Amino acid sequence: MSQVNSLEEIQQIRQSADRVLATRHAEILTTTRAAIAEVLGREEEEVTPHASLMTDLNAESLDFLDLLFRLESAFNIKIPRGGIQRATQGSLTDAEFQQNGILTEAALQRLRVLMPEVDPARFKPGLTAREIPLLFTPETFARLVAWRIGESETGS
Amino acid sequence: MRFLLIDRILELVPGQYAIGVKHPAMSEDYFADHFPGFPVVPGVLLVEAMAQLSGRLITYSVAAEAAKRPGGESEAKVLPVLLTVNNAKFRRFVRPGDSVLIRSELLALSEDAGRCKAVATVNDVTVASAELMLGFEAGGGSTIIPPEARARIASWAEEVNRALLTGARVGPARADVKEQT
Repeated sequence: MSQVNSLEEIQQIRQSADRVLATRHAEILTTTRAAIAEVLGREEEEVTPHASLMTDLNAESLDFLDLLFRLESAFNIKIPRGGIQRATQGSLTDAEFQQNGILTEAALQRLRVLMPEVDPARFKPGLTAREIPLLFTPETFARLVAWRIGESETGS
Repeated sequence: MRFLLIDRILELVPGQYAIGVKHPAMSEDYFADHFPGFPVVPGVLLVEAMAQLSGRLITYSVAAEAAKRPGGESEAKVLPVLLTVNNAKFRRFVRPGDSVLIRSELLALSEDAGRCKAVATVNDVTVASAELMLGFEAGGGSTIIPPEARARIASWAEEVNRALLTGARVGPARADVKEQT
């Protein structure tokens, strides 16, 4: 698959999420923040929409596993594991996606489309694949939920 | 003391639930201190028993899923490890000689983890319950279990599982397939 196609595919993910968030953003974000608060043993007020789960709230990968299960049952959806990372790479080959762990410009471009809730300046050259989860915020997970809701609504 | 906290698995329906039984005997070492003159099975051991049963339920559920894929029957069995315990409740004391029936229900299964709700009963009275999450590596990878230990653990698990499941009702996933030996 060509790179143009793969960007189209990621734009579909983006649009699918945007469409759902247009009407349900507040509700999805509230439920998502509550789930995060419960997983991390925090007060909901601490879980601000743009807090980094890992750097601000001390989450680790285990907490993400727990969170995804909770979101799946709260919203009655299926979330593919490693979904964000996999969607980011999409049809890019490993070499097109990263070199020595450092994300390529093509990968960064995809991230900017996929994660509009993150300040685009944070997707700067030199960012590594392993650092992507550091960017995850409650808004990221709300968007992930919205994408899955959007997909299930269109039956794909 | 060996650390096998399920004596037998009575029933295992991949993708759904498993039922196992444990008979704590007065001869268990821990009763000497828990508590002197008043032997009670420690709650953490009930959680461990739930985890051991749930892990096997997850292993066979993943295998049943894999078997639906071409060539999936030969995939290495996953080795789940306990990741989270939520809502653990200990409602009644469990005493030596009690027959503890544990039922674990698979709530959700993903590519790298399973979530179960387990309930332990004695004479149909709930003594403990908890929600557990266990993680595993798809396809026998080695990000959780060190690669050098993996083969040994896998063969041990196979041996223990075969003994635990002797005489168990495994199905209906198996009932409609030809019995495998």
